[in-house]
Amino acid sequence: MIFLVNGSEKEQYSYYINTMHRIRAEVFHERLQWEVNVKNGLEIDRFDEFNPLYLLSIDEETDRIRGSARLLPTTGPNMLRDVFPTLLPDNEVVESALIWESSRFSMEPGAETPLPGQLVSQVTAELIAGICEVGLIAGLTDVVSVFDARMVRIMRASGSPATIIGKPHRIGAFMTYAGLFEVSEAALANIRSATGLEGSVLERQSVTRCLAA
Amino acid sequence: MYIKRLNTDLEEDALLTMIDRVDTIKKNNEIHKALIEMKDRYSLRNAAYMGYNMGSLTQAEPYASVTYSEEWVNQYRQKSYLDIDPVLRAVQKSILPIDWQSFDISNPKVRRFFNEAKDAGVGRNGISIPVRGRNRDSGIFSITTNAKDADWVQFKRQYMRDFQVLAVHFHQSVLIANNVIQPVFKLSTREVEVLYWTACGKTGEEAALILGISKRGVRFHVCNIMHKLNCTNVTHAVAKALYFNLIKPPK
Repeated sequence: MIFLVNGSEKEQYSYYINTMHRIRAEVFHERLQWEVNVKNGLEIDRFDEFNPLYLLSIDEETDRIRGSARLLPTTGPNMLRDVFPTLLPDNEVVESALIWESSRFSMEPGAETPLPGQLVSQVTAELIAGICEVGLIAGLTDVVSVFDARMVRIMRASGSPATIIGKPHRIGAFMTYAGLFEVSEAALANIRSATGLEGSVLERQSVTRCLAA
Repeated sequence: MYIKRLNTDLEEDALLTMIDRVDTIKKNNEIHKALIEMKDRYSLRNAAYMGYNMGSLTQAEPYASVTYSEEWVNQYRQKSYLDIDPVLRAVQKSILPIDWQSFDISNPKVRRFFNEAKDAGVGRNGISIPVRGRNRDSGIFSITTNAKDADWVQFKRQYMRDFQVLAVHFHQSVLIANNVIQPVFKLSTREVEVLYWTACGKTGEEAALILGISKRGVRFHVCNIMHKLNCTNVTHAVAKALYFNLIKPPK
């Protein structure tokens, strides 16, 4: 289940938000060894201050956060323009009312492992379907993201293949890409049939709350 | 801009016409005219734009341009609704567009506010779209209709994308018309090369030979340049590019 939280509500949902930052530290700092700032075991960057929309994957039985993703409009500050401009050819920018950026897609160790017979894990499927569903609510055409080859495979397996834009670059130990993901009813149907999800993954009350916070 | 459209009852180019109108706004009073034109083209009841964090422009109070009745604007000011308007508070908290129907009207204050708005002819249904700019500037773009609930759902499906796009264009035009930012023109390396050789007096064919690309390629770049610089012909584009230092002066 995907629980939506506005960046502006982080005090109110500090338990969830802190768990998210802790998982992000484990994934980006410890596992992938990206150059990210970790303080007190929490990975927080400057884009967290720009009131993003967080998608939190919650285990319904344990009420625990297992993974998350972060959405920011490309008209405002975002990672592709402000941190990874080298991924796009000169003077090209992704800046559109209809494209948001997804970043810090991550989940706790083990949550990536698919169940037998599945191509991707439940948490992965929920996050990807959740991003597409939120995009539909906002009227987006695409979501743009910066990611590595592993994510390219995961996205393909989830029925949401990326269109790579610009040139791949080696950042740290990994090849890094910028890619677009389509947002449409058809794209959502593809994700659902590839992952076996049925119906909306969004937790209803959190959607209502975010729409009239 | 590339936009996938759903089926629409409106003339096909309502969005493109409006984008052109909004992008060529030079003076502040044209913002209001453009809102009215959009209201008519999309058969809206009202349209409103509010801007925040735009330097000295919004120091005293947010920037606002609205098509609401004078009655509602006066009432809004007199009762200091700027402080309690649930729509403004919600939009500043989230990046999601907000349908006014999603507000909890079991809260008496909220219910009274929306009832008064309805009585003042604001509109039966409304949606507010947050805009985030580059420099912590932000905007709130709202449109209302008198559509019945079922038609409203359909209307939103059809036009949400139009209004998301127009929200950003209005925001940008308010910034430019009030000199908060200068218009930014960005050309790719190839476009700069093509325009430079054109400024040197080379024909399209000559520029193609110099750059080792096809004549068609040159024409393609020239079209893009004119679009980006909002120019009607090449002379105009060269003049503008020189003025904004996009190309070096020809030898």
